[in-house]
Formats: sequence, structure tokens, C-alpha cells
Amino acid sequence: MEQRKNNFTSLLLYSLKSKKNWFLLSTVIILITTTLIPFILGIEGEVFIAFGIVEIFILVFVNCLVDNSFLHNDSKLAYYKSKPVSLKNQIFINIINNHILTVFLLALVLLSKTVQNSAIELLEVYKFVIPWLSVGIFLSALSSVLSGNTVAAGLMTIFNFALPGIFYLIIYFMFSILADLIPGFSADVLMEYFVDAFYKLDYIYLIVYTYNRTIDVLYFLILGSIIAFITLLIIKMVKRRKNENTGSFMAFDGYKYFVAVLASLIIPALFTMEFYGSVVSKMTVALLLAALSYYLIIAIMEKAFRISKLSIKVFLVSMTAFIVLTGATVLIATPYKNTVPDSKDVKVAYIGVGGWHYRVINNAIKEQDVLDDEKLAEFEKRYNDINAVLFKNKGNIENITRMHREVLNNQGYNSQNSYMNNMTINYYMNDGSMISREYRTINDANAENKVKDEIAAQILKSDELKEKTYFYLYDEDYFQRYKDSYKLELRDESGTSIDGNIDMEQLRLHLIKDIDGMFNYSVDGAFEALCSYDYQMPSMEKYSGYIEISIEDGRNNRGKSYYSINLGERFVNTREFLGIE
Amino acid sequence: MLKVENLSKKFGEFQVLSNININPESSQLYGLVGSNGCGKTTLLKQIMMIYKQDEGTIYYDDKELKENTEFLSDFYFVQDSLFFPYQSTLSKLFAYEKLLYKNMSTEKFDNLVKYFNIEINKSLNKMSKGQKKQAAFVLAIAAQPKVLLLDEIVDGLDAVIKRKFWDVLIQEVMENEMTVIISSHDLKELDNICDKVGIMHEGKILKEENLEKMKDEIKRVQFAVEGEFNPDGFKEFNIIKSVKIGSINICTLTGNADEFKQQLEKEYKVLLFDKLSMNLEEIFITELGGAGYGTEKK
Repeated sequence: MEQRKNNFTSLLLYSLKSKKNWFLLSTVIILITTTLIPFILGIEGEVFIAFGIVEIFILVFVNCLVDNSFLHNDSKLAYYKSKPVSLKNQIFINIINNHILTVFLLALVLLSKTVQNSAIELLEVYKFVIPWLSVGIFLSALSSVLSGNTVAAGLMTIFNFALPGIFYLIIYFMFSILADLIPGFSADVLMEYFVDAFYKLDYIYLIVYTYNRTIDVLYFLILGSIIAFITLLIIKMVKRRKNENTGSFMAFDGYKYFVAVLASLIIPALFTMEFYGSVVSKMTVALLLAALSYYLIIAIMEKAFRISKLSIKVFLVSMTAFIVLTGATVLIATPYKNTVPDSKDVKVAYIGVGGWHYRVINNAIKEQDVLDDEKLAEFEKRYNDINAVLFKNKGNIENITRMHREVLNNQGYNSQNSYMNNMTINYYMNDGSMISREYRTINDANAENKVKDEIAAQILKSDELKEKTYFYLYDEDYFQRYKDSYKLELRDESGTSIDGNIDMEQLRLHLIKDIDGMFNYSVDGAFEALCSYDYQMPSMEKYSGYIEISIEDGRNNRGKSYYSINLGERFVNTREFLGIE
Repeated sequence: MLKVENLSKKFGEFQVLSNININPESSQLYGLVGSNGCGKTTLLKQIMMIYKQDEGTIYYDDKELKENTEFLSDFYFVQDSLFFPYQSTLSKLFAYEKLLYKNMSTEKFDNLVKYFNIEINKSLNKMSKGQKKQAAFVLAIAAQPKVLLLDEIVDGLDAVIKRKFWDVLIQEVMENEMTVIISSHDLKELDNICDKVGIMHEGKILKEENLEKMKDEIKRVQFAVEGEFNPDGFKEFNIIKSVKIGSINICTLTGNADEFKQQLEKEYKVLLFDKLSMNLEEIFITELGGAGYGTEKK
């Protein structure tokens, strides 16, 4: 045992000694690019320090590939494998070697930063750079064992590093199929939940530690587990490696199929998720692309146009498994498709545009099991901060459930606009649970708009919406408290600032009058207004300038809050008061 | 002692080695000869555990090598397509291999370097093929392994260097009880030095025997008889090959040559009869001819 240890240490030292030229070259590159060049140019070195970190990634990556390239050449492999030191030990000598080089390079960049007295918080950056580099070194070794040539090993290192992200994409693809098949389900909402509850990608990549979070036990636990897992795989794969496949793209047939199957899912996922169209056409395109991608990858890896029967079998089995899995998620979700809660059971609700709103909401509700009055006020504020309204009024909640049933039956709407926003409905129930749905609206020339517009108009005309959206105008207490800090910025349709001494009290009255009457004379387009940001109809209103009000109300960290109102044609009184034609 | 039993190996669908059995003995030179692409190099790499066998067992000192890989530290393999680490010189490589082989002898290394007149500080990758082979051979002998596998080691060497190689090798085998397996196409060279020979063809060992015994077993006779010689009446003598050049018949047989002569005299008037000695190359061609190799008509 002692002898083996000595042997390992001696070989490690020998190997380090033989790398002295690499150390020298890397030192020169780092010092020239991070210290000398900014010094000669006489400029701030932050960009160069950042560039130095990129260089470290490249240098370490190249080093790993060069060191492990002995696995990809028959003569080299036969030479090293015939020596009385195991392949496993040779690989781990390279791993240790590359870690030493990495530490050396990181120290060089840190030195450059210190010499330049740069403001860049390098240690903060190192919190994820170091584990990424370390995991990258291990992954490069694993990829070299799995691959038959060095180019493939390089590509597979990147592939393996991105593997958690690739799985994320495939799961998202499954959810997007689910969302296409079942109205009301959103791939974003499902993914958000899945990532939050199970698939903690930000922890896997340790990105969670980048935002001023201190390194803790969990950090080391995650990093240790990942490295232990890769180490285990290296040991296992070295034992099982088919050295006769040296020179081919892949040393393992199983891994070749694994890569091909995943790649054949990613490519259609990336294409079809960006397309709008019927579910059938999307699925047909996805399957065609999957088959084509799979064929091309296998043909390249096997260096033959005619692929083996086994490859075809693997593809068919994988696709069947994917379809079955997606089908299972559809089956699980189907019973919830027609769920529209009784308005009596709803404490508060949101209806409006989708996108980033639910993220804020979800993050907030996570911390609050049941929304008591105190928490509700905080929760409403969060909504307000994103110019959205959390409806408490029973009449509005009833109208939201009516709209929900209407949209559930038919997502079509006859719009004059080329683009329509999706509709999101979130219910926060009395029992603390949450129901979230996102409906994709369909522009349909034959659709009947009347019912949807009428329900939407009732919500839009409600006092609750106006008072919450334009609280800085409607809330008397608030206005009286902060009116002296109200600052106006008025711009015409060309964006030019309009000067003038405007009486805020008077302007407020005119704005309220216009907002009150906004939906009184017509309900046309109310549905689209409900699905738009700020509950206005910017796309339907001719752009005619806007008013921006800044108030020092201390609602956020900036001290000032900014509210803007698009002065569309329906702001007749305000426009007349301001003298806008 | 090294022993390979029922070893088989497939590369994908291609059967490279099939049911290989060889028994190289210590203090002996074992010649592995065979047609091109018959699997000699694969067999040597298999012994070194570079490839994993699909079936069969390799024993060393009656223990399974797969389960006792530490024995491999007593093995040394010199491959045909030589590789030396980047920018290495013989002296650097010796320092590296000294860390690996516990018996690596500095004295032996120095002597061999002098004997072969090799520049130890010259980059190995800048040396000629012959010089590289000498360098690899020097390291192999200096390592003093118990089993030495040499793949086409004398290929491309001049006669003087070859002679030096054999001298060193024979001395090592005798002094250190080394087991040496040499694969080579140069059958004339092996004929002079091998104790035992394994003849390979299409992944199989066609014959394995002591060279002298092999020569005893396969004989060639030439004779002239009155009338036309018909080999059909001599089946008990296992005539492998029979050709007639002018009035002279030449037969290769595995049966007893003296009894063949007696039988011949009974059936024909024998005008001329001679026993011819066979060398390894002729035995090789005969064995492979029996396996249908090299018998194709133009």
C-alpha cells in the first residue's frame, strides 16, 4: 500500500515536472492579457480580469483534453496501458495535475487584480468559477474515457456539463406538449413549480451562490456529491471501457445512443417550442426532426450512411418512452383541466396578462400558507408593484370565474391586432392553496367576442380595478400625503417633452373623469385590454403622448415611484386640459 | 509461467480471436507467427489486458491474470507501432519507467545504450524507426521483466542490429528465466532462435509445438518412381501436399517417412528417394496452405 502511494506520488511529481512548459506558457498568457495590456493602454483592467477568467477556462479545458488524449490513440493507449500503473491512476494523476494548474492560474488572476487594485469582486466570481472548473476537469476526464477521440471528448465535455440543462429543456418540451394538449396549463408555470420543488438547477450549477450568498455547508455538500458521482462514473467506466473502440467517436455504444437520443429530443424541442400551430402539425414536425437528427448523429458517429438495426430499435424505444411519459403527464393533468373554483372559496384572484406576473406571485405565496389580512396587504403591494391587480371584490371574483368558464370553452377571439397576449388566471383559495391557469388566446375571425368583452368590461370598469391601478389618483389619503412630491413629465406623440406649469389637483380630476368614463361608451376590445399590461388598450389606442408621474412615496428602494398613463384618444378631458390636439 | 486458454475476442461483429490456446514457457522464446491480420497483435494486447477478453482465461503462475493484475508489473510490452511521450528522450523515459518497474536496472541500461550506441539525450520522436526500436528494446531489457512481449521487433532492422538483438535476448532468457513471446513475419529469423512456435491464422492457433518437434512431425520427401505416382494409396501417411516437377515427386507428409519409403518400394520401382529438411517458413506455408491460405489459383 505504502509502495503504491509512493509510486502514485512519484508519478504525480514526474507528471507535474513534465508540464512545466504549460505552466510557463499559461503564466505568460495570463500576465500579458490581464496585467500588461491594461497597464500599457492605461485603462481599467476589469474587462481584462474577466477575460483572464475566460482564458483560464480555455487553458484548463485544452490541458485536460491534451492530458487525456492518450485514451484516443491506439499506440499511446497501448503504451500507457501496458505500464504497471492502472489507467484509473493515470487519469487521476491528470485530474490532480490540472487542479494544480487551475489553482495556479486563479492565483495569477487574483494577483493581477490586486496589482491593478481593480474593483471587480473576484472572490465572489470564484465562488462558482472554482467549482465549475473543478467539475469541468472531472467531466473532461470522464468524457475522454467515454469518447474514442479527442474532438469527441471535447464536445462531450461540453455536452455532459450541459446535461442538467438539457434535461431541463426536455422536461420543458414535455410540459409544452402538455400545455398544447390541455387548455389552461402553462409550460412555464409547470416548469417553475417543477424546478422549485424538485429540479433545483440553480443549486446544481451553484448559481444560487452568486448573489451575495455566503458559502455554506450545502455548497460543499453539493460540490462534493457532484464530484463523488463523476469520480464513481470514471472508475466504473474505466473498468468497462472497450479500448478496441479507440479512434471511433464513442468508446461505449450505450453512451453513443444516450447522446444521440438526447440530441434528437433537444433539436425538435428548440424548433417546435418557438412555433405556433396545431398540436398535430407541431408533433409531426417534432417527430420528423427527431428522426432526422438521430439518423444524422448516429451516421456521423458510426461513419456509415446505413445505420444498424439496433440503432433504429433504440430510437423507437426511446421515442415510445418519451411519448408514454408525456402521455402520462397529460393523463395526470386532464382531470384538472375543467376545474373552475366556486367564487365563494376564492379569497383573492388575479386575471390578466401572463409572463412574469406569476413568477412574482408564486415567489410571494411560497412564503405564506394562508393569506391573512396582514399578509394580504403585503401580497397586494407586490401585485401593485408590477402594475397588476389582486381582486378581492366578490363581484369581480365571480366575473373572473365566469370569464374562466368562457375561455375554457373557447379560446378564440376576433382581434384586429396581429398579436394577442395569453390570459392568466390565478386563484388564491381560502384554504391557502393556489390554482393557476394560462390560456393561449387564438385570433379567430369567426369568433363571437360579445360575452368575453362584456365580462372583461365589467372587471375593467370596477372601482376596485381603477382604485388599485390608479391608486395614486383615487386614494385621497395617499394623494394628500404625497401630493407635494408629485412630479410630472409630459411627452407628446413624438416623445418631445412638453413644458408647462400644470396644476396637479386639476390634472388629477381630469384624469379620474377620463378613467371613469373609459369603458362607458363601448366594450369593444375589453377582453384584449384585460389581457394587456396595465389594463389599457395601447394597441387599440392611437399613441398620442403620455404622462409620467413620479412620486416620492418610499414604496421601493429607489425612493421614487414612477407611474405612466398613455394619453389615448379616450382621455378627452385630460387632453383638452393639457392643450394636446 | 504464462498460459492462454480458450481465449476469444470480437470487435463488434468481427471475430478477431477464436478459442486461442498457447503455452509459452519460462526460459524460452516463443514465436508467434501468422498471416497478415490474423490477430497476433490483438493477442499480445489481450495478454497485456489492453483489451478485455470476451471469453477464455489468461493464467500467470497458475493464477488468473484478470483477477491478479498486479502480475502485469512483471510484464513488458513493446508494440509494433511505437509511441514515445512528447519531447521525451531515452534518458527521460528511463527515469519515468524507473518509477514504474521495480527491477529497472541502471547498469543494464547503461551497458545496452553503449552496446547499441544510442544517443540518450536525442528526442526519441526524431529518431529513425530502427533507432526507436533499439531504444524501446533497451528499456524493455533494462526493466528485467519476467514476461516480455515483442511485437514485430526486428521488422525493418538491418542484419547487424538484428544479430545484436538476438544475442541480448537469448542471453537474457537464459540468465533471467524470462518468458519471451515474439510476433514476427521474419520467419527465417525466428527459425534460428525460437524454442516453441504458435502458428496463427484467421484468429485461430493452427498449431503450437516445439520447433524441433514440429520439424520432426512435418517431413518433405522427394522421389522418382517408374510409372505415375498416385497418392491415393498412401492416405495413412497424411500427405499434406504432393507436387510433381518433371519426373520428381515432392510430398509433404506428417506420417513416418521411412515407412512411407518402404510402402513406396512395395508398390513402385523407386528410382530415387531423399528426405528433405523443412524450415519454419516452409512449415508455416504448409500449415497455412492446409487451412486454405495462399492456395488460390491465379
